[in-house]
Amino acid sequence: MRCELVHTSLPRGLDGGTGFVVAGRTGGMPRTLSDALADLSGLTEAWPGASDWDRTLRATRPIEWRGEVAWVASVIRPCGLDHTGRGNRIAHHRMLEPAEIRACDPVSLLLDHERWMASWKGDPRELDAEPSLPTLVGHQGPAQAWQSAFGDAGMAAEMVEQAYRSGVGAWIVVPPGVDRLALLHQLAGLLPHENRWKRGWSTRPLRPVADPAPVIAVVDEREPLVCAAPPNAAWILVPRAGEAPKASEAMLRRAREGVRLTEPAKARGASATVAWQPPERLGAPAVPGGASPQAAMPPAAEVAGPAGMAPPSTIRVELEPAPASGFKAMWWLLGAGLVLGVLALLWRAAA
Amino acid sequence: MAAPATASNPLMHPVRDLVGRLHCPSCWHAMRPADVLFIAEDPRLVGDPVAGADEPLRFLPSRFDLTGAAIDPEGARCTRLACPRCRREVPRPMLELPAKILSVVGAPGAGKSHLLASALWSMRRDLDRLGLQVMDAEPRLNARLHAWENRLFGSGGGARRLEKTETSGGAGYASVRIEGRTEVVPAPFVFALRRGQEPSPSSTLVLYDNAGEHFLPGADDALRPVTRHLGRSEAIVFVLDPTQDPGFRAAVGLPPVPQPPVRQDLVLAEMAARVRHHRGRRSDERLEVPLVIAMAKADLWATAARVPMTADPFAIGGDPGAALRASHVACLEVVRRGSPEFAAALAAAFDRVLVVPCSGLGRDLAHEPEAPVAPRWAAVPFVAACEFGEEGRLGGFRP
Repeated sequence: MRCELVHTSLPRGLDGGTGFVVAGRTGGMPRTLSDALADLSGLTEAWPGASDWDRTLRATRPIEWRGEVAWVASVIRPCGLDHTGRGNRIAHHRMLEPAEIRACDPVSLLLDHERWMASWKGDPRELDAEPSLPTLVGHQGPAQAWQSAFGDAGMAAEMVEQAYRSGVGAWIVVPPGVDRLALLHQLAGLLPHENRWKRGWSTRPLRPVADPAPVIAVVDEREPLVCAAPPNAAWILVPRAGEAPKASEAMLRRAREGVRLTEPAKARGASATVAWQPPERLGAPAVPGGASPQAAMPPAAEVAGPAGMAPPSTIRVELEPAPASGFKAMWWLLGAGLVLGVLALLWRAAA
Repeated sequence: MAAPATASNPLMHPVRDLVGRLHCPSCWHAMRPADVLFIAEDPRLVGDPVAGADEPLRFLPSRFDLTGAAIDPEGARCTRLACPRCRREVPRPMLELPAKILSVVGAPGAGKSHLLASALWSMRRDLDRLGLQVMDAEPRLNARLHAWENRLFGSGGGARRLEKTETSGGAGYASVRIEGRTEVVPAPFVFALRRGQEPSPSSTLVLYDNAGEHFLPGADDALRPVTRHLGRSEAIVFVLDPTQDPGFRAAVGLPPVPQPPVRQDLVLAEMAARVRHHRGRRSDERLEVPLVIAMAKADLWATAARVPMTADPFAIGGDPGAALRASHVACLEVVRRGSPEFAAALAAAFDRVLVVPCSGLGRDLAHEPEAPVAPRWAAVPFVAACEFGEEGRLGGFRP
């Protein structure tokens, strides 16, 4: 079902109570779902001096509800002081329908700032059901934010392939001052649409979990959770400027050149198709001293191997205009004429 | 030749006495010291099916070194311990010293976190004034409290007031996967507690700081057992904010405020009901667990209400009963005048009640953002709660 919920600190909530309460939710939402979304509303501590933008969590996450996996997009951000004079935050969650998942890029949805409440006004109330989300296309151009931050857009290709193969999610740790949301947007845009919804996406660290879907987060290196993580944690990826990215050729080209759908002349004649196989399981973490590493306890589903994996996805990469496209069309016309002629002869013979 | 494992073996010294039984401070699972798991230290052993994919493996060791530290499957020496049920870390002093558990309860916005941070800051420093001192049992596990202390008592600058305590997520809670379901457990603060002239700590002090929302009706269930510590605590500190109640405000001469009142008597009644449920008591039974009512924000109302707060009631060599009784009587009078329903709920449920005025900040930071924090009697409710036991300085005290 499509619905939304807003959770913040108010003198009185929709269900009673005071403090952090449900301020608004779509009419008719089951209470169990309301509780499940309210439980997602916490905003973890950031580093000292973090700005409100830095502290904001933008994420798409799966939840288990009624025995099924449902996708929730959330923006949780500081919003001034509450009625008691203490720092407040507002959590705005949207639970998405399958049709919306098919039509929307997850990170483009988080980027659509006008869809997300920055503060709550008025009394707690039930919200009207909103119309379905429009189609939101993911990033298609070259990964320019990665190019600016690390000197090579190909780094996005390496990160997305490594993060995708992690069975528990990944924190891609970036230096202060870079636009994490833009990096995340370009990262997600490298994957085929259906694969983007096989992972969650976040701008703040979320605890690595295997089920129901791991989350890929682009996080600031000053995050307390990052600082407290074990050394060589398998889910922490650190892109480094100046290093040559290691990724499949197709993904590297896609990150550096983008999908050239905006160039009609080339797109018309394009024919090359490059298959991209989602990586199967998490590699072992790097261990100082070069000792034989043991896998970082990947979940059973990942250990099981390809049987539990999604089928290979296909990325259409516009490589070159096909040189023989005129000959092909001529052969098609000749073939069609021949078939029509034979059919006409048969009809006359039968008559 | 191997050295014999006897008391004369120098490797066996100092001898460590362990408690016979302990409870996990996160999930309340009862266990023997022999049941605890060790936490792997080797960086390759990351990922635990219960604690989480980002946590080191917990394991029951079969190999130890000569100092009693476990050896993990990759050969690393391990000293950190974990509960066998929820796999959350258990500070080692909890195996060696008896635990004293205090629950901190109060309505949302009552000032629990501010008071707790100020109280523990005092209890770290003022041994002579309080006759009691706390030290971090495992500093890493108290990091959230250290951040609060730094914010309130640090060099200043930036926002001084603490953020509102989250109801989920953050460092105050942990999600664990127990028997196929995700359970949220609280993350306690654990200290070693040293009394008066004792040379070393004699017990551990376990404290919980929940969001006030957790004490509202219906906020605690099997998947979020975040206030189950009420069933185990040896004393409860209830933080009462008189400034949230129009009746109290009128009783102490404060101007009315337009915001809707918070029914703190209902929070008290809900707490009493949970204590009864978790301890298996009859619904009409009065509770023996000592209750300390910390009447917060006393800097705003104590002078007008003529509540004495001058002496240090727990100073070494003094008689704490006399000073506490005087302020208790004065505060109780304010409670009866300002909120008769709260006084009635108190009398109906609890046998041993002590009312203590206190102020975590000592001033209104909203109006004096640059002024230094100056707590008044912030630690007194917590010291009193610790001293209510049989061996404590308030052992037979009934105000």
